[in-house]
Amino acid sequence: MQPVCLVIGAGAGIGGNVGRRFAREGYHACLCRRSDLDGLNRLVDRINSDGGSATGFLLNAIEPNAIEERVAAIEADIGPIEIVVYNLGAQIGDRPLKDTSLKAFETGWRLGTFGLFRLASTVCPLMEARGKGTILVTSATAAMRGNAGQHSHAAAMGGRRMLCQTLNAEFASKGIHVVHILIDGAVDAPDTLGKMLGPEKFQQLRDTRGKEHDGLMLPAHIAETYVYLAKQHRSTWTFEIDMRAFSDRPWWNH
Amino acid sequence: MTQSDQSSLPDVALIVGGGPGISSSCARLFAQQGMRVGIAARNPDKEVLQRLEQTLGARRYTCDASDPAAVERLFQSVVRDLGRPTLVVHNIDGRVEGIFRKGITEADPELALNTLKNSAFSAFLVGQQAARLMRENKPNANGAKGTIIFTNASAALKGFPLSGAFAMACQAKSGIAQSMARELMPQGIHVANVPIDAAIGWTQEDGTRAHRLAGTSVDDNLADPDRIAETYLQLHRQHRSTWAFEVVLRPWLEKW
Repeated sequence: MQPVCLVIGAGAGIGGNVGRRFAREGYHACLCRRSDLDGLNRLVDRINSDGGSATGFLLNAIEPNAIEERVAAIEADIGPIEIVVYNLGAQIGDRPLKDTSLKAFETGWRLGTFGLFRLASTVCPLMEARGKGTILVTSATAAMRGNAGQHSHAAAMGGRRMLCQTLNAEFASKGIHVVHILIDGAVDAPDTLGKMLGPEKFQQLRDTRGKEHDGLMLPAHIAETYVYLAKQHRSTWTFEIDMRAFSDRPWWNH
Repeated sequence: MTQSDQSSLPDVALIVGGGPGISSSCARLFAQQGMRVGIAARNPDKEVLQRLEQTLGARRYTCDASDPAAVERLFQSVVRDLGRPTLVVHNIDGRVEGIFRKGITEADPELALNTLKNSAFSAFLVGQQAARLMRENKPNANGAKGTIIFTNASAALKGFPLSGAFAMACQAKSGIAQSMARELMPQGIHVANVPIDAAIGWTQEDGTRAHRLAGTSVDDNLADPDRIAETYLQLHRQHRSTWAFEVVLRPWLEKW
């Protein structure tokens, strides 16, 4: 059976590009996203027409057992999951404390931290039994720094980072490479940033900072680093990497 | 490691600090990739460096990298012999004999200062010369004018006991790297700090990768410098829309 790269959170940005890039490496890409079946089908068709292989699934990571059942079905029907990309964002924009509802905070935690915990609980035993596996976790500036208005997001991503560390502490010596990947900047991703800003503002941002200016992080290039990390020799594993556009201000002490 | 297109001009790589480990691995990999390679050391007549010259055509330079005039001369010579550098690796550990395993009450101040000069101060000097030249480089196909990589160590992440001088030197090196990154990245120069949180085990004459201090039982708990060099190359080839600053490398079995 063909080895599988499972992407949780596969839109037109990092998730879709990373899935596509791993398909070029010979993995069957299993792409999961919550909504937009048409967009999902486009991603899958593009991989298949490039000569790769992919399957798409609609998956709501907050629903009980959704992740667990999807993992079990892929392992039974498609192949061993060798690479997992956990790419769910939890950014809801800047909101002062009074506008951050309990529900918004809890949803952030479910997407940011708890979903990864559930995924790891499901795939780590499988990877451990095989003696190898790679868990690539997309993360954000908020994992390092609690900026104003980021109550829900910073708590969720800070939790994600610490969870990655404890997963690494338990599973690195068992052959599972966990990587916390800090995306410290705006990504040229129509399904996330594009939806948050709306089409007009997103286009404006692309025109002024993106495109040939390279000031928006380009997901196809980000995907190169994901593949590189998955190929690292175990004598030189990286746990954490931070990336940003060359022209951007880094998160550390603005 | 497929990456974005490279410009048609060959890269010129300068490795400052040369021995049998990371520097040799970098020289081999960079040369394989078609780069012109220069390697600088206090003593460039070490056998391992002579072999790099014979097998790869790497150019050897004598340089005490803690001496401002010597570093300036080094870069002038490299420009003259090989061309303007597009990839500079600062690969100096900097510890001097007599400073190893010394507690704070017994460390010799002169040796501590030498360690700092060899490591962080030389990183400043090398970074300064590299930046002055690279600023004037034409951007390559990735939009980059050059890459400056600092090899660093576990001591950049935590100050170990009996290792105060080295901790001071490594954290200073992280500081200059971070400052340079913020200043130079928007100008198209990629700056990266790579703490190697491991002992390094290079392939010896007999084919093993045993470390001089680690006996002979090697089970991938020593970082393989050939693999470290791959990370340096990957950093050099990252597209400027997604530059990494700090990459820690450690073996899978390492406790941290």
